[in-house]
Amino acid sequence: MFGVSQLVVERLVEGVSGEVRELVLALYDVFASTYKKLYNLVESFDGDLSRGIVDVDEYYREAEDVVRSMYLDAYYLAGRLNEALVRHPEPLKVLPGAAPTQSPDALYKLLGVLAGVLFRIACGFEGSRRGVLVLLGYTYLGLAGGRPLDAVVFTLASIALARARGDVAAELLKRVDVDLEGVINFACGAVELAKFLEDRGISSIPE
Amino acid sequence: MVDTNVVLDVVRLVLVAKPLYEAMMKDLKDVEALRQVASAVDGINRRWVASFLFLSYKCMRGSGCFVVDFARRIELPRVFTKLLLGGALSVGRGGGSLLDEVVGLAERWLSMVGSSLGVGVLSLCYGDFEVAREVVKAYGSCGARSLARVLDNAIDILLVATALNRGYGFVTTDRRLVCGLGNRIVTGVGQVSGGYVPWGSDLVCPADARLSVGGGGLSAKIYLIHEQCNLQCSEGERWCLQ
Repeated sequence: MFGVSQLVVERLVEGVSGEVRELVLALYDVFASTYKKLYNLVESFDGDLSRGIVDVDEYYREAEDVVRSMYLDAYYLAGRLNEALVRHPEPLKVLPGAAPTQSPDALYKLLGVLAGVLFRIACGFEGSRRGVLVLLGYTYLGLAGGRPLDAVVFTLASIALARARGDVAAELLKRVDVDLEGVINFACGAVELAKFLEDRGISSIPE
Repeated sequence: MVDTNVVLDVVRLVLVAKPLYEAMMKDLKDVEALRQVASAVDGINRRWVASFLFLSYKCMRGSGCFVVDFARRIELPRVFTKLLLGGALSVGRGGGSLLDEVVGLAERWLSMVGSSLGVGVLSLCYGDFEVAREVVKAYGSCGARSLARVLDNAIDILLVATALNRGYGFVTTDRRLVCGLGNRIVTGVGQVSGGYVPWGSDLVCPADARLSVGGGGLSAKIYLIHEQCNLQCSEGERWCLQ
């Protein structure tokens, strides 16, 4: 699927290395082609942002509507994602094999680790790029954590921030009890802590 | 109030993402690097995701998110010692004792936790210990064998007692703690799936802690972050035989 909606997501990963970009786009492609309403929501939200006429309440209601109509079949999504990833370069091709294919567990794991990758990349940036990518990371974390409404709101907030509309992003996030500056600081704080350990040769923490 | 393991979960998620991050940023194609990517993805635990989300929402600066001070003195040194003994950590000997260095490392890490994640350190007070004593009393009627198990878990009891004493929510990943205090102090365990789950997630299981002290009652919310909320406590996890 290559449409306006795809271009919106491409803008979110501007300046990010090719393969991370590919993975984000492959994931979006799977979700947007499975959930037509999500595709339409992203497209119209970005269109309204560009015209400067966003009604946050209305978009939050639409996000709720999209989530109500979403049947999250993790088996189906994992299968579609696996098909998409094996067509990609080596580091992405290895992902479907990382866990038993076509299992919901593999999908959650992939979404979780992708959030971690995006947080690492995001926190290397300053300013709005950092926020855009952290929010995109939270989108995957929300999906992996069983919070699809939050995931859709994080996506919209990320798009708003990429359009330099931090006010819209903050308003949207308030609807799901999230503080924009707070989540960005938290994610980058976690990266900072991980790097503190890595600098001392620690790559994992025992349970 | 959070137990240290919840905070560590947040960092575990970022640590495990490193091989995939490096493979993507450096365009690695060698077999060993790809094997590490596969292993890293496979190692993800959904509990880490839930801990990350939970603390991101709940531990904003100034909102009263704490670890208690024994985390600094006991729990973190225990984790760093484990890393040291497992060979994952090589401590540069700066003249002090090995223990001092491990404690120093834990202190520095905890100070970063405070400034980076907004998790403060809460000092225990006399009242917390008094409530803990009441918790132990409540278990005294379970019989001597059970009381011994309660005392084995004295530190965990102190965490719940502190939450009760101060009316704070307590976030933990330790199902044994929730099961152990089940029915006497912690209620609602195992009934979560049919009830209201504010997190809309099957990974964060809320329960209530209640204790009668003197003429009054203390209460606190308990959040167990676990792989599944339809928690069935085994006999071995219950401290008080019914």
